[in-house]
Amino acid sequence: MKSIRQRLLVWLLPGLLILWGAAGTALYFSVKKGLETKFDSELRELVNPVRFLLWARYSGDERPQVPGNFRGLDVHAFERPDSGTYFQSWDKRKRIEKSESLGQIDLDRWPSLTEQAKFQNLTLPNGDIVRAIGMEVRPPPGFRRGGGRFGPGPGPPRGDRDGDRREWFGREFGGPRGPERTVGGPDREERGRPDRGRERPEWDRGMEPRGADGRPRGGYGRPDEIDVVVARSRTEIDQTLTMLLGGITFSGLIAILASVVLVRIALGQGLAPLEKVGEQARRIDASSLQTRFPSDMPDELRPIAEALNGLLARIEDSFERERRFSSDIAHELRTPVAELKSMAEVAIKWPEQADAENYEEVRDISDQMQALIENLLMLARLEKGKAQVQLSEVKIGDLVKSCWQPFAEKAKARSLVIEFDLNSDQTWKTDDKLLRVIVSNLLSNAAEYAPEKSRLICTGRDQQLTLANPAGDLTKDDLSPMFERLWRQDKSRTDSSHSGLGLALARSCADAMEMKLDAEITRENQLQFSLTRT
Amino acid sequence: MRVLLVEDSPRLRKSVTTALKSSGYAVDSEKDGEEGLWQAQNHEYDVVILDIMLPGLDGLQILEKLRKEGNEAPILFLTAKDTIEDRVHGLRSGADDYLVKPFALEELLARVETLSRRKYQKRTSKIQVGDLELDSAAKTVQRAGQSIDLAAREFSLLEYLMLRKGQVVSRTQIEEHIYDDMASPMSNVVDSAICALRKHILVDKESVPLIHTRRGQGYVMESRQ
Repeated sequence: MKSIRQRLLVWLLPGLLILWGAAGTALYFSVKKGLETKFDSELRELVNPVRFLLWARYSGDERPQVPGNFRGLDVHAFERPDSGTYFQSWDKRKRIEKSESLGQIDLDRWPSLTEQAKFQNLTLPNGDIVRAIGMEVRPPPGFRRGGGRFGPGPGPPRGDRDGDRREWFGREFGGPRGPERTVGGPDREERGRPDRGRERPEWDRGMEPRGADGRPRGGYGRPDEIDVVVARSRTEIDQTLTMLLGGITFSGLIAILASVVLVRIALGQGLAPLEKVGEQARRIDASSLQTRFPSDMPDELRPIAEALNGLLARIEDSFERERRFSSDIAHELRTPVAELKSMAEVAIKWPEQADAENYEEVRDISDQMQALIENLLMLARLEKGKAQVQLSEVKIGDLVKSCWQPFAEKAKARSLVIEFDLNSDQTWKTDDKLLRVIVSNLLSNAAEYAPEKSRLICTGRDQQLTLANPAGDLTKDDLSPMFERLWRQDKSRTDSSHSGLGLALARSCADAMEMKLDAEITRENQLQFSLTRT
Repeated sequence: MRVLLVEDSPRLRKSVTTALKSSGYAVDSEKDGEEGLWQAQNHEYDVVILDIMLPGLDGLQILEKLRKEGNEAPILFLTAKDTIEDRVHGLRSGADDYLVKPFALEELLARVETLSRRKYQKRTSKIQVGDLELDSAAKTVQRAGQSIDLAAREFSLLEYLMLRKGQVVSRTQIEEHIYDDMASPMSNVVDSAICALRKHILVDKESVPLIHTRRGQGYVMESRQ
């Protein structure tokens, strides 16, 4: 993927999607957990009135007083078929009590209930989805069989038949079969109940304790542990959770869409400086290499801008050198071409002026131009690394002296004296041709430019060959540029015997042979060239 | 016409000198700037041809010094420096013309001729004195419809006298403009040349003398009819 924008989008958008999904899921489940915890807590609270009423029933209390701490609970909900609040109990004698709201349906008895509450989600046969609490409840310490309210009761009825199933709670608490079994006051008695007037089973009537007035009080007497399952419809909580899920999903989609837009805007803003750099870079061409990127960039781009500025500076320098070189080459060629042209035109226009000397001059000019071209080609080959180095054992002493021969006459004319400190048996394994180019150029320069009547000293050692002569008016500032192509100390000299390529060529030859060619001005003001084997 | 050529390339110096001399100019040539400046300061040249890159003093420095001294000799730069900046700089420094190497010799001669003519406020190449007409471009001389053949130096002498028609031209001035340093100042080369020229421009018996001698002053060229 080539685009940073696309790459960031690919990472950011799924990342945000996952983040939003995880956040929504976490929110949903934490709310769900909170609601269920609260629901469970309310369910647990519902067990208390059920237990109370159960004990009231078991003790035969016809009109149990609902304690104050039950006031907040809708205990009458057990009576209403559509209340979504249910309970059912089982004692060890398999007597079953259940709320009227259950109607004809039964809750399943949960196995192995203890006093530790258990919770389950159930689906009732009527389709109601409920959450239920199941636990074992025990009678309070003061409970007596048939003893009235928490008094002694008539004892539990015998037999574990289906007929033992009694819906007394609903009748007693929600709708009285008789005034004595009504809990909740006369107003409760007036409420119509579907099972009003139902005959209580025989066993029930026989077992129920009687009050002071001799009227039967009902109740089984002290029960053993009773398994109770209290259930409450989840409809409200499920609706809440469904709405929450919808809300989270909707806001999640909105958030994702907003994220896409915001991420694109943020990326656009964030990448704008990068695009600006790209635009600036696109505008830079060979004619505008002096352009530099501004330094007031974001921290992340500043190193890139600095690196690009450095690169531009190097390219500009390189271009400038090439331009100068091209200009210098053109200049180098202009003079010999002008010489040839003017000589030819004179010979054409005034033939009587032409003589053999003119032709010799034409030949000399041609030779010099050829030498210039060959030097340029050799330099180009060396700089491209295309020169082939052919190693052989070369006697340094012989090579240096043979290279000096062409310049000896000129040196003599300028009263130069050369001293060789060379071992005639010393050999270097090197390229004879390239080494000759180096030595010839150094000696040629010395013969041409060393101050008149000066002494040249050429020294050969195992690893180094040096040539020293008085520096004259050369300064240390000249040492570095003198290896540039077409460099001349005296720019005004246009004689074509020295084009200014010699030292550049010599250094390229040295580089090709992995040697080092340096120049220095010694304390004795000697210009010393050193060719060192590496 | 006398021309100074300052050029460090010996071959080019030789060729240009040959061409100028063959065209009738008296030419002094120098290879370095200091010698060139000395020559320009000590002789009256009709045209100075300067290379810019010279040993010693460069062409621009020579130009600057000459102009500062009030020397108004027409100066032509003959140089390998070919950029617009170089040309503009050269012309703005006071040069009258600028020619880039390599150049056509004919073009150089034409420019030298134009510059020398400009010195005498002549816009055309034709000069007339009486019935004598000289065309400095075509290098032809005619009188009364008859063509006159002249050697280069005679042509140059006639041209110089015609350019200064009505004015007294001294022998020294003639030597300065027609002869280079090779001519001996003690010789009567000027008188001999004038004598020869008088004979050449008398095409028939009806031709009136046009070159008149002012004793002790020099020569005047004019038609006294």
